[in-house]
Amino acid sequence: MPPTITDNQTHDFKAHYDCAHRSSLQDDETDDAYVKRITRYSDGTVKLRNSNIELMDQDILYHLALGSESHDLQEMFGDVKFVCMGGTPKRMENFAHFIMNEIGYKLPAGTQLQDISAYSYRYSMYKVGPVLCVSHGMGTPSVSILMHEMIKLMYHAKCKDPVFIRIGTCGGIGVDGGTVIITEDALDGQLRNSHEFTILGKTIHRPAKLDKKLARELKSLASPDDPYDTIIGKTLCTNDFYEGQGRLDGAFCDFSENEKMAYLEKLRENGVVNIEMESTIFAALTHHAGIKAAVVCVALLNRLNGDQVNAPKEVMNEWQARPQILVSRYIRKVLTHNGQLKALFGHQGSIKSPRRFKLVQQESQAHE
Amino acid sequence: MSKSNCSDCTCRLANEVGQLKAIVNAQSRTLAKLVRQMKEGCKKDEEAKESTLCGLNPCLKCLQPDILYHLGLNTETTDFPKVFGDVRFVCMGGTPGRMENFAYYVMQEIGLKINAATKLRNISEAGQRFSLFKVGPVLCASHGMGCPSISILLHELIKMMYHAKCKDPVFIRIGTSGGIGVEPGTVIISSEAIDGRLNPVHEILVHGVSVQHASQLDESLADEIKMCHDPCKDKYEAVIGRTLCAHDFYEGQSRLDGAFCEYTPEMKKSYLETLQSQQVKNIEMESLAFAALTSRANIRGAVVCVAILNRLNGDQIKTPHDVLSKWEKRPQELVARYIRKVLYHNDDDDESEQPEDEAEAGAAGGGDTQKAPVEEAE
Repeated sequence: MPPTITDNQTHDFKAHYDCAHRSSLQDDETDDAYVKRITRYSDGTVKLRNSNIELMDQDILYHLALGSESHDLQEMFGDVKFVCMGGTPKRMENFAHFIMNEIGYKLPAGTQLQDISAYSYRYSMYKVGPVLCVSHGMGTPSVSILMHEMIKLMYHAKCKDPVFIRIGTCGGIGVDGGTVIITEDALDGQLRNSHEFTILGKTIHRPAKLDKKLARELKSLASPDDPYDTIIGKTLCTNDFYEGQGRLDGAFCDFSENEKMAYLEKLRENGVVNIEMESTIFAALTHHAGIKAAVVCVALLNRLNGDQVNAPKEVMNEWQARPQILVSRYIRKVLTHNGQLKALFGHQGSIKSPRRFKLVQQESQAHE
Repeated sequence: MSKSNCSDCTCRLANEVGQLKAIVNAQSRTLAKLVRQMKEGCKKDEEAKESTLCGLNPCLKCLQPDILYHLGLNTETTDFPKVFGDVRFVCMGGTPGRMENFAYYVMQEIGLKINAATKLRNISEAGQRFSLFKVGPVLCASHGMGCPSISILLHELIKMMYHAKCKDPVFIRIGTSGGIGVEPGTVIISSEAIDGRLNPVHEILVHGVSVQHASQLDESLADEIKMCHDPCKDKYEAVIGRTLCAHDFYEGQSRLDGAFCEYTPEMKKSYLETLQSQQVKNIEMESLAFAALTSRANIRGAVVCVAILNRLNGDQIKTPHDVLSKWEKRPQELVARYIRKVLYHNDDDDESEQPEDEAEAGAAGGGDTQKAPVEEAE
């Protein structure tokens, strides 16, 4: 792997960023081609936008309880084509079992899926052949930690052109509970199609772009026979569940119901069809890493009709399965197209170094 | 031989009955004390109907039921005053397992006992997002990672305190952090939380407009907790200082080992040294929301973290695991001392009421009245 040269002479962060971008972009090169060049090696494997990683003796993914010298990450994860993530460990475990059935993945007799990241005590991760299922917690900081470590994992494992998909729940705006929503654009609390970062005390924005083609492809897999709608629309991503989403039922509320309704109507007029708390960081980091990504959520309620989720638990469970069904159709389609569906077989990852394996487990447990 | 066997059985039974009586008596005394505390709590509530919480959502009293969605609780199916009315301390930390361990530790430290055939139940299991354990007057909750996650928990716990009519609850966050210019293993009690731009405010967007809330923590509470530290006996330092709350673990904290890094090691060091010059002692990811929300509700709050490394000396942990495990317990030990100190102070007052205590214990011991305290405790 050729080393990436970092310009150590630049001191001002913003100038450094602009300068790097400007000087690297060739005259006839499109932005997309530029991103592809700096985020992929010629064989399609993931290249990191961090030249320090190559220099490290070991890269520890603390919050996943994995390490580049304690585990053979390429053997464990090299075949990964899809990374599916959602909020809660239980839901992602359920999805792992669901996708196992859908793609016909067979486990050896007497075995069961194991939470690969159990020793991190923070995220849960299950692997089903080419599909990784991982929980990401709630809110953009929690997703951010996971994304950094998943992207590094793709690099260490030499995965080729992985696709990342977030599967979740959300509040709908003017759509019925149970509607499946594929995100066209992710917007922040001020309706900007970007995610705000504070780096070295300075604020920068990165575009929160999702793959439009992937969104349309997912939409095309919705069936007229489905007893619910599947739509594409804009998604608002807030850092606050209560006040930030205009709820009246938080511990604090300094606005009236009329003000809340005016805000929600304004969102609707801007094409926003749902609200959640993870999509801008998910979009910004996958885009920055040159990874195709999509967000598919089910609305648990129509916020124009109230703030609290009142659907019975069985109904909610059925609703939560809907984005999983759509995503599994996409995965089956891609695997079938590549002739991979029948070739799936179980294989074991391996530990490269037992001593480092133990150290990584312990250090992951300690780090917070 | 049969006579001998019968005799042995009789002796064993007598011993077991004696032990059971002792256990029941001890539990009766504990229950009587808890019942008295609850009754006193009720009396105080009657005397001063106004809650100590303030700035709360005026719509709360209209929410029937109020669904605490992420805790898997609601005011219709759970009697909040009965179940949570005695809560005086709410302790929170990042991971469910760690907070469950802390719950058992607190149980031991405050002298609460449960039957060997039972264990603490995760009250919020149905919510699937946070863990919540109750140990008498202490609630232990996990809060996940980052301000959005802890803010959901805080909204719902504050609503719980309101519905349960808790009196003067104290909220404490316990955790680990990266230190800035402090010896690894040092315990840092936060004086205030600052954001990535070094401002002591927590910003949220409400209806698309930026709203900022002050993120100072309760000064007297920080001092009280620090006073529970014994510089001679304890083999570590406890300091009060400012805490940087980042919204990103990697770039936001100037790490060099994230998936992206567009600054140099020199720029990173310069930034960390700027933090040090601003009296920042540690970096973590929840204190801004914690400080702002507790402050708005007029709830005394404290953040107590152990620094597991000195970020001025590198990004990765070099300390052996067994040492780290001991360090992690330091904030827990300090907070448990504080809790015991507060409870013991009340016990000191109770000593003058010893006869009443014995009388109630005696009453509770009676067969006909045994069930009532148990039901109330539940």
